[in-house]
Amino acid sequence: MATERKLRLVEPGPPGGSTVDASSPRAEVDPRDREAVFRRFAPYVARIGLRLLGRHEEIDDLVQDVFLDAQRGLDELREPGAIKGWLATVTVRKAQRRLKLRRVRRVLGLDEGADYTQVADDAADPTSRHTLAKVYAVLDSLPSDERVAWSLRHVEGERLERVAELCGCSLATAKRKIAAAHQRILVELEVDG
Amino acid sequence: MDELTRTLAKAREHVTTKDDEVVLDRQWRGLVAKRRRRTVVKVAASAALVLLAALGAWRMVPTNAPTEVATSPSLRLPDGSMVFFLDADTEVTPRAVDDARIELALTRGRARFDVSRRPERAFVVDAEDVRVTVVGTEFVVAHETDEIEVDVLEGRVRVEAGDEDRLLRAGDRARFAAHATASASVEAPIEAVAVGGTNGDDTNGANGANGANGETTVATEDEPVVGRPTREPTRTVTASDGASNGNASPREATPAREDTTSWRALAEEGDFDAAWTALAAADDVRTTDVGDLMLAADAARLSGHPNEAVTYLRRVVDEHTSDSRAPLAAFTIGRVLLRSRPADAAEAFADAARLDPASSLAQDALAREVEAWHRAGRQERARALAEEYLARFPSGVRVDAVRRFGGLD
Repeated sequence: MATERKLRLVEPGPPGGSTVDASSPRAEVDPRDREAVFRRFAPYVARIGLRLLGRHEEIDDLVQDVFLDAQRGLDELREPGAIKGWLATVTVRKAQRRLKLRRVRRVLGLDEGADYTQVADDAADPTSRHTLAKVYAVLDSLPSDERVAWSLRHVEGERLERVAELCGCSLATAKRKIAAAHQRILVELEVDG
Repeated sequence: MDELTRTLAKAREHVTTKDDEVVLDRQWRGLVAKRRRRTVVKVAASAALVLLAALGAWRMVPTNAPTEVATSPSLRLPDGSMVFFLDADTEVTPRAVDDARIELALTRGRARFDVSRRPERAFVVDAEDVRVTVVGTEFVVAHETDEIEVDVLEGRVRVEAGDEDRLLRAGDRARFAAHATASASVEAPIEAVAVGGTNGDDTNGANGANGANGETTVATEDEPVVGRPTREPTRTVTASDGASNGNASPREATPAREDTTSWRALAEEGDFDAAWTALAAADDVRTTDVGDLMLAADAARLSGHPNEAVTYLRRVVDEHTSDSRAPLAAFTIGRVLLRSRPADAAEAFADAARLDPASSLAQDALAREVEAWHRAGRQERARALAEEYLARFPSGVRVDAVRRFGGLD
């Protein structure tokens, strides 16, 4: 049964689900124009950050950290189309660090969790809101690498190959992490997979 | 595809953020402030490296200069002590955290430890074979390849390194061999490891983002950033921009706002020492322009001229009382004067709260006023204000500090 679940996980994501590679009809920006890049892509970074972290209150800080750390790479980019991918890579890395730190705080009794019913926006139906709240609560108990891989796949809707790339691991490792997290979430939610 | 996957495929569109201009402006201002502070930290670190290279033969280097620019805590411990990660790759591993003992291991990078005074509790930091034990103080430990550097900012610490057992006082800085013996015993750390990265990059005050702070979601003691919300966003062409592009940049068509050698341009780039020098020479601060006054205050304050900074900030408070930046100016005066003139600092914090009583700054200002009166020896006043704080903000982020300074513990 567990093997079947893993097999299901390697199916491609839903059509149009991947947002990282989504093309934009808007004009390209010069990677060295810091403010233009920020204003164009900050909402995108914020959305990925929220999907990985689940806490609105951390997003401003994350966005700023991402653009600070991404600047050196942006200065070296010559292809405006690569900006989005680079920012996604930095966002994932920064989010992973935050999640590690969050686990430390939990060990020390300093992290009291969050009200994850606020993760979904106002337009979400009650079922979606309830499911998301439960999922994010479970995610807090997972190792950060599994959490990030699973979130990229199932919340951000990334392709498996892209998940592996963003997580800096092999495709097989990415699949294993996603499957492990998914199994754990299913058990916690008592959902019949 | 299981039910959970199907549900999430539909629900994911609702996990999104607001991307209006207000949010973008707030985030951008915070980013500019962070970049400025990061530049200051880099300059300070570079200066420290040059100094250490020059004094390489010395094992002991007394100094009164602050080692690091004040930043926000990356980790706040249950007893109120704070750990500030000073490098992007700093790693601190908690080994024991209870009422009797806090034991941390610095396994990589540098960190500053601001330890609350609790004589009944031992506070220990291990870095390789060097053990630093403190009672109540503030110090920096830097984990370098073969050496551990300990820099005491306040109080005293005892350092055990191999056969050495040395007492360091405030202002002392000493370096020790990282490994006393090849077979040094190392305790197994617990699973969790704190990874540094954004300390000093806090934007709690800069963006007003619900107290989000560096990598932390817990209360912090950081200093609000002096923002300039009405100033036009800076578009600075850096040296690397010019070097990396032989062709005309699109931005070159835009008229330059400032001569790049002006104190304003230097300050906005984070080069506060040069900005202060240029400002002193030009003496052209537009006193009717709050943004100019705030920027001049930044240049003065961050280049080590606090009294001059207070002069500019006081003009904002006194002559532009209705400006939205006046409360922040008052708060900053309080921060600048907190240690040297605590009674004046208390009055400034009171001004900040009075000028914008409904803001989150007012909460911080009240907490700081408690601390300032405590430092001024006005304990009754501190206690009364502490009680007021606890009544108004029972879940406030500075409850612990307020209780401590108000004598309510």
